[in-house]
Amino acid sequence: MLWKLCSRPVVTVSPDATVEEAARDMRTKNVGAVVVVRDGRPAGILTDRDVAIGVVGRARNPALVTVGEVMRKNPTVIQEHAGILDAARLLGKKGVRRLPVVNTRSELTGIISLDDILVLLTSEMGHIASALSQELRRPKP
Amino acid sequence: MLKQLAIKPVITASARMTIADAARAMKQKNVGALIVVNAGRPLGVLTDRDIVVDVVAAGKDPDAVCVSEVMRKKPATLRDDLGLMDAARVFAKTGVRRLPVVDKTGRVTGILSLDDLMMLLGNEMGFVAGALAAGLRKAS
Repeated sequence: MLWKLCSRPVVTVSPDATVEEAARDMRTKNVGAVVVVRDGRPAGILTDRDVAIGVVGRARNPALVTVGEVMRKNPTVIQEHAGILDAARLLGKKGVRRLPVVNTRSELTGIISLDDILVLLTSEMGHIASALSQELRRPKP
Repeated sequence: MLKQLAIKPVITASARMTIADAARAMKQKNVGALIVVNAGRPLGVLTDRDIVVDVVAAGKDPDAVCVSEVMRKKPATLRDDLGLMDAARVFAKTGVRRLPVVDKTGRVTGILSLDDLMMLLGNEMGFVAGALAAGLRKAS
């Protein structure tokens, strides 16, 4: 279940924060995306790419633009009791890299990224590979 | 070989460009990284994240900072005659997400990202899974 897997704390910002403030959070917390929260619920998502392309790339001043103006609104979310394969399927269907994780009251509890899922799935693959290689080493009866 | 696999066009920049111009190029070409070149050879890599972390978060003016101040200098490179597994090993060693691909004279011919690599390996895995599934069907 996702709530066991979302190990990293999710970094949140208010829609009224400036993009410069959000960028500072991305730097100090070492994350590529922040979830924009209104009343505890995810209202949007802002990535480092949105800042570079949507603000600097459009010659807008990051100190004057608010997060609410440039965030991706109404992000696809996933319930915290969903499984990792549900998350993988949803990411594939929506073509996004990150999903805010919510509880049954739609409150934000975490975030899961494509990278998190790849790391989990490939480490499982590693276990399968080591099972296969042990089998190969075993002397034939 | 990477020559055939690093198919996305590489977008290059000059070290003297401003960060504002670099961000505009990333937007226009829809890429997350620019390879900074001099006479075709890679001097550095500039990513969208570098712009956010080193310029925006630092409160610097993107029109007053040039690419050479922010780019990651002297990037590791991938020779275009390497295979996927060699490339995976280089990525593991460097811990970066994107590497310039160069020909044997050291000129940039492409760019390969960890995502590209994952996609290519994932496709290969799909073929292996298909072969295993066909074997299981035959056995039953």
